Amino acid sequence: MIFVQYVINGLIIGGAYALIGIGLTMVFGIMRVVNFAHGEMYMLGAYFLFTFFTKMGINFYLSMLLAIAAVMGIGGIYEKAILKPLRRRSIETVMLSMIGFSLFIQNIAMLIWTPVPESITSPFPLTAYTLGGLYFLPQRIMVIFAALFLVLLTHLLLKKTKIGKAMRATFQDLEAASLMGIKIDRIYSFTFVIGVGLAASAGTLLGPIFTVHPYIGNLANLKAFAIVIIGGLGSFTGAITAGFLLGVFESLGAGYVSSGYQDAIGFILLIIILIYRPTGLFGKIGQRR
Amino acid sequence: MHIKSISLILFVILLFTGLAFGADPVKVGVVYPLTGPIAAAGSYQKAGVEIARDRINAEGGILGNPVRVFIEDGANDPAQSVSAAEKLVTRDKVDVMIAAWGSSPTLAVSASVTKKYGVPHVVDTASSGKVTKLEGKRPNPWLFRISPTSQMEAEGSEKLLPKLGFKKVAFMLVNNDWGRGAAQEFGTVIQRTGGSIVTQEIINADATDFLTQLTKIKSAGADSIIVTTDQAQISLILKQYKSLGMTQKILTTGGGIVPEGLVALAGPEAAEGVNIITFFAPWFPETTKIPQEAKWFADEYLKRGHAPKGFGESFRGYDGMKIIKAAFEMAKTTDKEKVREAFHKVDTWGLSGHIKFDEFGQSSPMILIVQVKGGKPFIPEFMRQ
Amino acid sequence: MNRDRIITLLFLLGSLIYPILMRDPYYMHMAILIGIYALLAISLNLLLGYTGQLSLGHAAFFGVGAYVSSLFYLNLKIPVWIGMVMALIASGILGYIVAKLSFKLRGAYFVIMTIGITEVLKLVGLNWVDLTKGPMGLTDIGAPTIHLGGLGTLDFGDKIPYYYLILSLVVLCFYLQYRLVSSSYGRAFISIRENEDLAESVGINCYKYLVIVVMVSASIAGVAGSLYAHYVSFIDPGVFAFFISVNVVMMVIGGGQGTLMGPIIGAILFTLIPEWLRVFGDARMAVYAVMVIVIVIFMPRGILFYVTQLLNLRKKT
Repeated sequence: MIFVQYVINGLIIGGAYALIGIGLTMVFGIMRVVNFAHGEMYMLGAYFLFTFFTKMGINFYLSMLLAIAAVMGIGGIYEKAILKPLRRRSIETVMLSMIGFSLFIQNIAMLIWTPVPESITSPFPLTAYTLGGLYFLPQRIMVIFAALFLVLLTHLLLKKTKIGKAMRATFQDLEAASLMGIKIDRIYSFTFVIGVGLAASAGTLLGPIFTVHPYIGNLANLKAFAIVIIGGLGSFTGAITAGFLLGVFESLGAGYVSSGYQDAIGFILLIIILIYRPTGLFGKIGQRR
Repeated sequence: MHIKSISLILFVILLFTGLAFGADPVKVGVVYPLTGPIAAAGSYQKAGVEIARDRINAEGGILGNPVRVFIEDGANDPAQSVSAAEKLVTRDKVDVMIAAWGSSPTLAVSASVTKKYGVPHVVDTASSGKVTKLEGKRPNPWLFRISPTSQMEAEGSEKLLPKLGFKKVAFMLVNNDWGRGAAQEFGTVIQRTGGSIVTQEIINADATDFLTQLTKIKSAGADSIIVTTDQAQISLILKQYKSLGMTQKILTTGGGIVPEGLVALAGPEAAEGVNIITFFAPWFPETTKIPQEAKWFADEYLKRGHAPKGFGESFRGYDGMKIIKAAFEMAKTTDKEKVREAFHKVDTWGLSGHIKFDEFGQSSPMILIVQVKGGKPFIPEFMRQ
Repeated sequence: MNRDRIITLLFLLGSLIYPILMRDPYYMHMAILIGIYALLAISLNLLLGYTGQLSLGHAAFFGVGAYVSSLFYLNLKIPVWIGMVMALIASGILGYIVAKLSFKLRGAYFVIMTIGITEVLKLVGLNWVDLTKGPMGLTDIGAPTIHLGGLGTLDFGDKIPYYYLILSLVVLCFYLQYRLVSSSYGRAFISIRENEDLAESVGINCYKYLVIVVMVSASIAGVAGSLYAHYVSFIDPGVFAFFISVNVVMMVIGGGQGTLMGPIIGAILFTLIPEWLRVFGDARMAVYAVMVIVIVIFMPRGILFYVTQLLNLRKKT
């Protein structure tokens, strides 16, 4: 029974991991940019929700939307101002500018909201539902459904809409796509904004479960990196699978081995997978760069 | 209003005349974590230092000279704290240091700065026994600690634990020297009082999800949980504990936790009934020998717009400054060797109780248990006796 | 003698007389840290500057060097020098493993792999309490000494002897770097950086050269870690911090990657910058972040390059 409970705990957290992971993998897959500030966008999502909902008293769901929109705005500005001019520059230039951006956001958040941890009041009841001796936490059930909904929405966006098709074309072959008249700049901006929006939405979903402080992005970043590499850089299905896998493995690891190594599990999985399948679970062979 | 502004003007004039007469300020160097994951605690303590500094200066300074505080960021990291302390000692030429929050940076500053240069060093937070006693010897004769070691904390609560009914205890501890130290010391005390340790769950400093650990504790049949970590993580543990419908008794250690913090972060429902070990209870000034000063401090702290969540840390900085003043006044000079000797003779009361150093430079503050009752701080009956 | 040599020699001369000019212990402290970071930067420069592989996990080699050397000293009570050699070997072996694991991939995969390995090592350092004392860290790590026969003992516990010890190692590694990059190995490295496929097609075994360069780089970083441990006399899993890796990359890029002097200039700048930024108080790291962005965007070839360019311009006008 306790095993099943561990798996359930893991699956629910895994849903949030998947949500964080798909944003990062999308940005990498299409733009070839490792967004080191992904975790910071997650953190900003949670902080904006805190400001709008807890501080200003705006409706919870409206605050969520506003928070996500605000982060998308910041992401959009960064993309236009910094990433676009860096498009032809080397990988380390782009990566370090992203690291600089993430450090900047983290420290600006510390100056704006102070390092004092804050809590977002949850509109959901605290007590868990019990079903056959298993516990289900209301807020977390909301998280898993919202995460699945957003994942589905992103999937539909990529498969069914015109811009989604253009994004996939860019992902598969940049030059061919631009020859076909796809405006690469617009695709990139759009991708980045959607990517950070997914991170921010994870922040608004998990914010009320956890506490908010300027450094929550660090852990989110590390998890997102592990998920994206395990799943295969740029692979949508991979990120979702790896997200759930990581959630379950962490929960089981903490339950049966030692919780001290909980955060190492992602990277240990990563190393094992890279030994046997260098491009990740769903990465394309031959696509190694 | 008038009295306030007049006293302010008088204060400013006093300050300027002090400077005009060329008074050499007494320089206090402070290394706290002001950036990084521990920055919240550092900022609360900084507030405590500033309140003390302003009070001391308003009362005429130390030895008739104003006090100047130099605060540097050490990020709770040994290397950065050492660099900051080096700068304070050799560039700013501070007369005394308060450093450096956690045990790791404190040990580093102690070994490679204050001991080497011979600068009196007040430790107000670190809890590792090694800071004042290493293999039976005192590692740094210049170091004086006002915060209790984990061992003192555990032994101080030895009489109280049976009253709380802690028998089958589970530990949840943050993976650092503080958490591991507390688990070890409290473990010894629990076994001595006839209890047993059911399980020990190590949590990483930035972890946020504890459902698995709590599920494990629940199925292990524990009747109580001792939690050692910061306020943010404890409130997460409390929320998730409440969600799982757990009823185990909870005790938090380390002195940094306050009912307001838990209520603000976890909500009154989840914080209800938690037992908190604290070294200063601003809500019950009568628990100290200096109730007026304690009340004044609590009011002043809130008046300056600081969060009540920080009460559990803020007093450390205040007491650190207070003991510095006492030592300098006793030494009647800023000569470092004389000040060091004076620290040994100091016998005074701070917000956290009696401050008097033993031969290892360790003082023994009071150890209190408060509870959260109806979302408010509450002193349990057995503490009142 | 060309201009570069004269500048290098002047630099060396300056470093040699520095302790005589600067009696202030704070400046000696900073100089020692600069020396340690210069070693790290030289080691990363071999990898990033000459073969073009970005590692954001140099703290892994640094940390392993620090731990291995300290543990040998504390547990076996052997002379520090042997511990340093052990640190060099251990980091080299780790470098071999990392290279074998990660050079199946390039680019972003490799970078994230290096971050991941550092994180795992940090968690091992935190949790293997029996060996590493976990978060409590290792204390009382002694400094090396040399017995001079009848003349007594030379104790490197003082700042000035330690400074000269580090200076001599920096000079040694600088020379090593110089010999390596001007050898056939160096030409192979650069061809990998410029175009790996082309290098492969003219018969260069890129994989082999990359493994070699990571091993050399890791060994030097391990020595730097060991020197750090015996200087600060205290280490904890913070030696695996991500910030160390980032700051070293900034040293190499900011100073001038793929140049001999670049990492040294970078080490000087990026050891001092976080200290100078103390005047900004709480906003210190935010300012640092802006500097990182500005430098990588506007000075990708390093400060050295732009300074010489500026000097040349002035000469012409």
